[in-house]
Amino acid sequence: MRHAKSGYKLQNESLQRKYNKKLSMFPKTVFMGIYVYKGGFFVSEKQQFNNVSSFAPINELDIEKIEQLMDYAFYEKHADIKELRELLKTYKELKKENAENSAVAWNDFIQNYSMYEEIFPDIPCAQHSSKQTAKMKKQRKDKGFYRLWRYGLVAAVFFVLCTIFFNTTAMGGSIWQSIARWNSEVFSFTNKTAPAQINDELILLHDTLTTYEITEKVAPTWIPDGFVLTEFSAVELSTKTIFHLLLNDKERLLLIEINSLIELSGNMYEKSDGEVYEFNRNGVTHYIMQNESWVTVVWRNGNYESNFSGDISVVEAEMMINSIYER
Amino acid sequence: MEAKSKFLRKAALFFVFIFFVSIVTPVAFARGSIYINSYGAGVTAGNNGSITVSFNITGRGIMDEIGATRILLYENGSLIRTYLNTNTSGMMGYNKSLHASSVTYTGVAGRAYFASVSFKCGKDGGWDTRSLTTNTVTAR
Repeated sequence: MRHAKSGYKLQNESLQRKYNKKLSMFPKTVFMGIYVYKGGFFVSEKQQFNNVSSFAPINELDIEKIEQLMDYAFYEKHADIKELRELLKTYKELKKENAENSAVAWNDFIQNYSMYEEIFPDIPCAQHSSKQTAKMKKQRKDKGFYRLWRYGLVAAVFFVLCTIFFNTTAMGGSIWQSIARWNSEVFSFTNKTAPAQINDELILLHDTLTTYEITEKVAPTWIPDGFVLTEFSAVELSTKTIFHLLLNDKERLLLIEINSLIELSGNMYEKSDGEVYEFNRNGVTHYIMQNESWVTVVWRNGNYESNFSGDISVVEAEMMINSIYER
Repeated sequence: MEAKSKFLRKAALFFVFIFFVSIVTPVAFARGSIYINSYGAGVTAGNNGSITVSFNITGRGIMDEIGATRILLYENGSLIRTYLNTNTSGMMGYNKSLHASSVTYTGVAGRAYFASVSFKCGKDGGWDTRSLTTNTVTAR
């Protein structure tokens, strides 16, 4: 392999690669010579070396330039040994100076900008125990305290909410109902000491029960919004008296029946194939089940067997059950 | 001879198939009712041997026809009287969601009575039926 300019075949392959790399960095190759773009015009490598070494003292050159010159000198058969030694000496001095500067800059960075010493475990403590580090230590301590305080606060809020939730649920209420009550038109906070209002559509049922001297809590006082009374009847049989109510809300229907039993012979209730869900309120077990698309609730309290069924959700059914005892 | 045994084998398979279908079908369709919500019936004994059979049925909304189609009354385990909606007034109701009524029979004191009531509830050409046997009472 021959070098285009010097004509030497290089024995060392790694040096040859290095030299080729150097050459590839130069922007232009013209004819047989290699030209380096410098200061707006092209000069040959030899001219460049000669120019630099002739017009600038070696000890004023920077380390990069010296490295470049050393590369050129390696392939220059007319290079002066004395100049080369001087070049090498300057190079060594600059290299040492650079190394010292790097160490100083690194320590400066550690002391002024580093946040935590753990990032630089190999640096001795004396080197980074600056004001900055002390300040960061204090901040870290404060941060730890505030983090702990925050966790504590979250835990306390969670505990309080859990306590309220479980207490209200166990006592037969809903946390949301105990805090506030609203419908499509108004919003208000519940006053637990005031008796619950009976829905207008249920007033006839409650009046009739009063007429029959039924004062027990057997009928709901709340129904979902939108239901309007469609049919009401009170039928006396030899076995029972039935108070029957049919309400509708456009396509939705809701039936409420209170059976005052004379003979303890109850009804059969239609249900789909599925589980019966028990809902206990006021010491009474209410059985919630599905009949096709309807939700049916059945319960017996003393001589009263009651039920309501309709196009309502289980949540609405539970709210209706709750309303029986909230007065 | 061989053709006959083949025919018998096929007939046996067919009947086995029908048997299993007849078992499975009621289980598969035990899915509540889109017409009936609840129903009930009971018997009470009044004075002078009076026996009253009461029944009630509630539909899922206003029904075209709702009530009892037939009441079978038993005395000491034997059928003694049949009431049909076609010849007994008040057994069926129309355009309502609840129908409750009763029939009265004068029995013999000391004898036991119970009834079997057949219900029907329908709307828009569709309907559902159910039957219920009441409690037993002794006439006095």
